[in-house]
Parts: sequence; C-alpha cells; structure tokens
Amino acid sequence: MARTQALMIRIATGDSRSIGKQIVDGIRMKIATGELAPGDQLPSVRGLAQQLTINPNTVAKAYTELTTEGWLDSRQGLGLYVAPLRQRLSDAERERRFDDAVQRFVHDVVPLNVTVDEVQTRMAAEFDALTPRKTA
Amino acid sequence: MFELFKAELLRFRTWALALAGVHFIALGFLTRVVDLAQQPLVVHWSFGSTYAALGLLLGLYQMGTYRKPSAWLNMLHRPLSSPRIATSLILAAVALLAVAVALPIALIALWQGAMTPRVVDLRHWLLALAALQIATAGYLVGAYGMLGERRYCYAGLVFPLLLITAAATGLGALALQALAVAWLIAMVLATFKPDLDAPPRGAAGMIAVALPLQMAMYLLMLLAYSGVEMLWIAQGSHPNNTPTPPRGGHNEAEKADDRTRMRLALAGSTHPDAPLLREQIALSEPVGIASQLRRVPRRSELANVAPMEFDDDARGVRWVFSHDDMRLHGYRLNDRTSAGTLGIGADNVAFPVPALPVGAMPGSAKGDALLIAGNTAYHYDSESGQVLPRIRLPEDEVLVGASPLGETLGAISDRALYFFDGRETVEHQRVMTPRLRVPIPGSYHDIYDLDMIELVDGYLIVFSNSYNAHSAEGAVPYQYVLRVRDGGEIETIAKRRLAYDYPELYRYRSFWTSPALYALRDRVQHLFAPPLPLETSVAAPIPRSMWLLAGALSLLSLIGALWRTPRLVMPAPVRAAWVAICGAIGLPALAALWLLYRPQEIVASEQVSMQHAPVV
Amino acid sequence: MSTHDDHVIETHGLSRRYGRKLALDHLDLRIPRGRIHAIVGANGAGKSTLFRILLGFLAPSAGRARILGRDSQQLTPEDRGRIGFVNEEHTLPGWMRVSAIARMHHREYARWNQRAYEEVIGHYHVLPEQKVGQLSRGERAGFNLALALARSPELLILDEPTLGLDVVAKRAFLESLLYSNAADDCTVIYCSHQMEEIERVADNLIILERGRLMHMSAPEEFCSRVTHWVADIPFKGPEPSTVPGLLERQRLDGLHHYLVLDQDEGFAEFLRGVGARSIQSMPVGLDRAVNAFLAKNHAAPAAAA
Repeated sequence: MARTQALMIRIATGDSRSIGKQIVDGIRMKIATGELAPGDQLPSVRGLAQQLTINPNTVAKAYTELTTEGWLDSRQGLGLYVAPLRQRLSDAERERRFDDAVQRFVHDVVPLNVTVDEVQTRMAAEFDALTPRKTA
Repeated sequence: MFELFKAELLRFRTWALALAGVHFIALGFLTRVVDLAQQPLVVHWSFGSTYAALGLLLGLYQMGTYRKPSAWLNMLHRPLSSPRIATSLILAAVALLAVAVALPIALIALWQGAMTPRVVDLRHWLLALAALQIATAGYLVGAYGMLGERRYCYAGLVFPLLLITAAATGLGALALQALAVAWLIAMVLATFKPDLDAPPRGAAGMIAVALPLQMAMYLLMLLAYSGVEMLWIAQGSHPNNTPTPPRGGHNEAEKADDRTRMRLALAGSTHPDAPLLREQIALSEPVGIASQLRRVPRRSELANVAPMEFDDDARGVRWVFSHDDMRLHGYRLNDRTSAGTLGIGADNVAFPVPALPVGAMPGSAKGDALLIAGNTAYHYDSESGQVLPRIRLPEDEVLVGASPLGETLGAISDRALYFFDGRETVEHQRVMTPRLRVPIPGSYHDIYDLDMIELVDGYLIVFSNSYNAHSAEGAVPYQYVLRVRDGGEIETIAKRRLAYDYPELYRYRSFWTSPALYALRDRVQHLFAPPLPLETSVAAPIPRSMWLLAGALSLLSLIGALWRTPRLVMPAPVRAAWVAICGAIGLPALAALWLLYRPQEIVASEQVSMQHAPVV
Repeated sequence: MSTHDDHVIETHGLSRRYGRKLALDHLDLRIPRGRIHAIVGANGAGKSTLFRILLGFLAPSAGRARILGRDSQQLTPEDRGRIGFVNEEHTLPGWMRVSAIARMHHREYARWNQRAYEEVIGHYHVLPEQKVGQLSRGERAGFNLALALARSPELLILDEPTLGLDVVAKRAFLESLLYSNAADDCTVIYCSHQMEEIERVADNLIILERGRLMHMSAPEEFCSRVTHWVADIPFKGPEPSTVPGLLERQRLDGLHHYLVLDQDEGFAEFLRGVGARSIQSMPVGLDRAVNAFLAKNHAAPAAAA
C-alpha cells in the first residue's frame, strides 16, 4: 500500500492563471519530470487544500480535470494515484501539438539570428537539466 | 432569556452596588440629622427627580450602546423573539435599580424603625416601591428616547410630567406610577424590533406611542402659547403688566390694597347702607383669617403635605403622627426614649383622619399645639398631656385654618366662616360652639382675597372670588359683600361681577387646542384620587364661541389628515382611523400623524435590461 | 425545516433609497445553496444595505428579498437560529467571559455543536476564563467564528471578517472556515475587499456595483473575460470613449496598455485600425481584473451564460 507522496507545488494569488490551473499545471509538470512516479498516491483533496490554504472545491476540480485527462487514477475508497505511463493523446493529436510548439519556437527564435547548432545544443542542455529520465 | 438577563445584570453589577453604597451612605448621613420620614413635599420631589434622572441615564446608556447598527444586529439576530429580548433587558434594569434605589431606602427605614423611636409607617416602606417605580419610569423614558425615531422619541416625557402633577396619593399614587410604567413598557416593546426605522409594531403598539405623542404635541402647543405670551408682555399691553390694571376687572381687585378692594366691592351698589359702610371701611383696619392648610393630608399618603410632627418644649417631647395607628407617637428629645402614644381625650381614641400640627393657638401656654384633622381642631395641652377637640365642624366640612380676630376666634372651612367667643378658648376645654356661621358664596377654591372689618354689631365681609379667572378652570369672578350681625342674620349687601381682563381666546387656549385632550389630561391627573375638597370649584361654562373655534380647528385637522394620508404607507382602515382621530382630537393629532409617518420613498421602476447574471 | 429551496438568497427588483441615492438598484440576485460565494464591490456598492435588508434590519424601498425561503422582513426566531452573521466588528459583550458566552450560546441554539466549537477555538490562544474585552482583535474574530460555526447554521454570512487582522490571525481564520467540519453543510457568503482571500476561498464570484449585480460566475470565468493588450501606437492613440469594452488604460514607456472586457481577436483589428504597429495580449489575474472592472464603474450588463 503506497503512502501519500509529498506534493511540492506552490500557487500564487494574483497570477494570470487561476489557482485551479496552477495546480493542474503543477501536478502535470511533476508527473512529466518524473518527480511523481506512476502509482504514487496524491494528497487528499482536503489535505492539499489545507497545505495551500485554498478552497477544497478548487482542488477537487483540478483533480477531476487531471483524472479526466488521464494523468490520475481514482481508486475507489483508496484515493488518487498517478496513472501509469500511457499514450494520453492520439498520434494525430500528439503530432499536431508537437507541430504547434515547434512552429511557435521557430518563429520566436529565427529573428534572433542564432545558428541551428546553437539551437540544438541549447535544446539538449535544457532537456537534460529538466530530468535525468525521459518523459512521455 | 434568563441568560440574557443574567448577562445584563453582570454588566452593571459594579455600578449598581457602588451606587447603592453611595445612596445608603447619603441617606444614612441625612437620617442622623433629620427625620427623613417627616419631610415636606419638595424634599420628596427632589429625591424623586434624582431617582428618575438615574433611571433615565441608565436607559439612555444601556439602549445607546445597543442601538449602534452592528451591536443592534448582534442583539436581535438570535433565536429569541424581540419582545423577550426587550423584556430581559428591562427586567435586568429594574433589578439593578431595585438594588441601587429601593434597597437603601428599605434598609434605612429598617434601621430607623428598629433603632430609633421615630415613626416608620407602612407608607414609608412604600416609599421604596415608589422610588423604584419612578426610577423605572425614568429608565423607560430614556430607553424609548434612545430607540424611538428621532422625530418623536421624546413622547415618553409626558409620563414623568404626569406623575409630578397628579393628584393621587398613597396607594393611588403607586397605582398611577404602575400604570405609567406599564404604558412605557408597551411603548418600548412596540419599538424594540430589528428594523428600528419602521413604525411601532401592531395596532396596540401604534396606540401606545401615538396617544402620548398627541399629548406631548398638545403640551408643546401650550408651551408655544406661553412664548407668545412673553411677546405680549414685552409689547406692553398684557393685562397683568399695564401700569394700571383695566378698570372693573379682577386684576384691579387682586392688586388693590385691602381697603381699596373692599370699596371696589361696594362700587355701584344701590344699597341704602352703602355710603355708611364705605365710610366704615375707610376708618377701620381690615383683617382676614389665616388658612394654615394648603392641602388636606390624606391617610397613608407617601409624601407629607407638611411634617406631621410638633415639639412640646415644656416637656421636651416630640410628637409625630403615625398613619398606621392614627395616633401621635412621642419620644423625648434629650435621650430619645419613647414617650408613648397619644390619641384623643383621656381614652386615647385614635384620630379619624390624619392630624396635622399647625402651630399653636395664640395666648396658649408654652408647649401647647394646635392640630387640625378634617373637620376638627384639637388642642394639645402640654400640662395635662392630652389632646382635646375644641372646634368641631359639620361632618363633611374641612377645617382650613383658625386665627384670632381681637376678642373673637375666627375659623374658616371649605364651606363657611365661623366666629367663636375668644374667651371660650381659655375658659374651658370642651368643644366650642360657634356664635356665627357665614356660608362661603361660591367655592372655597375661588377665593382670592378675604377681607373683613368689624362693625359695631357684627362684621362686614368681602369675598373676592377671582381665583383662576385668567384660565378655563376658573369660576365666574364675583365680589360679594356680606354683612353679618351678632344675632346671626346675614345680609348680602352687594354682588359685583368682575370683568375678565383677558380675552376668551387666551383664557380657553387649553380648551380650544383640543377639547378631547383637555378633558383627558384632567381625567388622568385625577386618576385614582378622590375629589379634593379644597380644590373643587364650579368652572364658568365654556362659551359657545370657544366650542365653535375648537370645532373649526378639528375640521382643519381632519382636512389636513385627508390631504396627508394618501402619500403615506398605510392600509385603508388605518387611514380612516387616523382621519377620524384627527377630527376628534384636533391639531395635536395631526401633528402626531405628521411625525409618525414619513411619505413613502418612491423608487421609479427603471428599464431593467439584462440584469440576470449567469448562475453557476 | 427540511425542504431545501433552490436558493438561499433571492431578491427581486430589490431597491433601497437614501434621499436621492439608490443604495440598491433593482437588484435581482439568486444565490444557490451550498458552496462558498464571494461578494465583492467597492464601498457604497450596497453590500451592507443588502445584508441589513436580508436579515430584516432594514425595509426595502421596493422589491422583495427572501432568505432561506422566508420573507426577509418576517423572520421568526427559528429562522434566525439557522442564519449566522459575522461582521468585521465582531461585536461581543466585552464584560463577559469566553466560557460564559459559549455556555449562553449552547443554551440558546438548538443545534449547538460543542466539538466544532472546540475544534475551531483550538486554533486560537483563547482561555475560557478570559474576558472578551481582554482578547486581541484576532482572538475575538476567531472566537466569534467558533461561535458562528458551532451554531451549525444553514447559511453563514461573513461581512469583511478579517478586516484589521494580522497575517497570522487572518490565516487561522481562513483555515477554520475552510477546513472545519462544521462548515461542511453550510452555505457561506463571504464579503471582502481582499482579492487574495477571495481567490483562495470563492467557488462563486458575485460582483456588485452601485447597487446592481454586475457579474456572477466562478472566478476563472470572470478572469477569462478580461484581457490585457499592449500596443505600440505612434500617435496619441484613440479616444477612450471609442475603445470597445475599455476598463483601464495606461501609457507606459510610450506603449499603450489596455485592460478590456469581453473582447476577442476583434480588438486586435480595432487596434490595427487606429494605427498600432505591434500588438500583444495576455490574460489577467483575478485581482487586477476585478479592480479594473470596479474602477471603471462599468454599467454594461453581465454576459449571458
């Protein structure tokens, strides 16, 4: 029986993202970087709300969104757990999103007059810095 | 409810105990110096005003702290109905006042009764209750003043005014105080509700507030007339302040010296003896009969008309009249030991009515005293230590005073003048028989001046009955000239009608302002009180013109109500009732209506576009 | 009373006039049961007037108000037992001891929950024998909240309860409100000026302005209505009255900043139309969005769902 994993996310009021969105993004990032492994148990709704001093309903909504998207699994009576790694998105969708991100990046970077080598080195370094493990 | 009561008691506990202590010390100090049970009326009024003021301060402060919006919300937003909340607060205040005001009085009475030979009657114990009721009335006036709408929060003040001017004494006074307290409680309960701006709650509540308010408006209007009177005086043509009074009027008679007054009474008389009598007047020294009694003391009255005690200087004993056993109780002044009780005659029979000491008969020995009780005058003889009746008038008369007129002893009652042989006062100790009895023309209450001169064979007596000729209560003013002969015949020489110096409009101002409230005020001031013999009188009939004026003003008030009520928020039966009341009571009712209801604030219905917001 | 109405608070055309000013202007408000509803508005928006009318302490000039399905002007003592009210003054009898007041409430309220009281009061350093007058403001606020929650109200209205409290007390207060079990079955109406608090606490955001309802939805939905545009416009820039949905504008370092309401990509067209050379937009935080909305005295109606 897994014990609850500590969830080290912070939220900021006054941010342009709503608190719920900050929680969703924060948990997604933790899962993506591997800080939360599949099978780890997340804090209860009440527990996380108390940790962040926010309304429990907001946490509930965030958890629901993550569960719907497939990042979390709800196990009856036991709580919420990180879902096993799997394809969350269809190939087409994945391709489309990858394409969007690349386009945006290229558009932003080209005016800066950097070389392809500089870009590649930089990209590799960033991915390495994020996590020792590769993500989905 | 009990919790709230306890909490409120706790709040003022220290204050109540401290005030009780101060009060007790003050009374204790005074009681060493004077006999608090035998003080004149004015002292009782001073104490009463202080207690009422204390209550007023408590009411203003207590309700003042709760009236602030957030405190009011906190007090009334609870699962307890607002009448019960109000009752808890009121009962707590009464309990606090009982400790601060009534308890010290009771303790001092206890001390005085147990530790001194002074008289402590039941009526003195009841003073503690009266003090509590008066303080409570003051408290309720303050509470209502703080809670009620600013425009008419002073309406409660009519009750202290009533208590000051009322005729009731003893238990009747206590009943009247209780009635005032009950009505004031009704006013507070009608106002004590979450929305303080709303009109008084319910029909009974509205009546509880509206009636005192109408009376207050009536009294304010009378006060305004006094203001106008000041201007009249300043202007110089006020009949009381002109250099010479108007001729033939009552002011002229009142301001004249006695000889002139007697001559005025004979003016225009066609009696054959008139010129002779006028000469006699010029030659003689007019005299009068002293009236020692201002008011008749009543059994078990709470205050005293005058101290009911006298000192026997020869024996060194002070005699105090006790209402409980209707006898005199004595104590020696040097060592404060009791000297027993004293009744009438050798058998020490109890007095039938309270006996008021009024000094001494002139020429009597040291230590003697004169006592008046109802229709009888008693002589206290210091040597024999007995009280014996000397003058006994018919059963239903009240002896008002007696004084010597040369060799004769004159006495006056509320019905007649009496002349006794002066030698009888010293020759024997029995009841004296009057030689002459002269019935008073009109009422005793009407007499402004009584002048007489001694004639060869009797007396010439002039009654100038013009008391209250300047107001609606007065009888028609006359001067009567009576000649009394020694044999007993009484002849009316002249009856001169005095003219009214003041116009009808002025004299009847209390009446035409509102006949209904005029009558009500009189009724209420005499509630629980029997008719007072020294104050009964037959008022002059109210002139038709005054009735017409009152009617016209009532009509005006009715029209005013008809005009005003459509703009107010009230159901049709209430509107009809107010219009009827304004017609029946007159302008004071219209003024009350004006103050009680505000015109409805109109909110124009604007174009409401897309006000609905998405509901989550 | 077991029937559950749809709404805890309903007003129909509710208006209240003071002299010439309308504190409440034909307010139509329907607050559903459950959750935490936050009401924000500038001073003078009518919040206090609304609560006083809802609790029967003031009569409306026009319209009706219902609270827990009852006419607000006819509340019975039982109704009052089901509605809690806490305001910033935290009025309590200063001469009484904490334990005495708790005992008094225990006797007065039928549904007193002693455990809930102890749970909440445990967050504060309040000793039973202390007199209320000796407590600090934060302690008094906590005590007041403990009393309010222990009464197990169906509806709890809080009008700026953390005003004047220090950071520690404020946090303790919010925690008690959000996490005590007593608040679970309760509908909470929370009024505050502090957007930081509102953002943490609110399920539903209600914006009142000049006595009218301007907006009611979840906070994120409101935020999504407001966008921040930055444009480089060479000349003076458009007249404020011509800018659609304008809430706030600033000129910083030669760039034009616009906070606008309910504008989409069409606004970019507008900016291009007035000669903007570079245009960027970004979303706005709740604090900024609400402040801009209120500052504008915006009279536009709320967007339909």
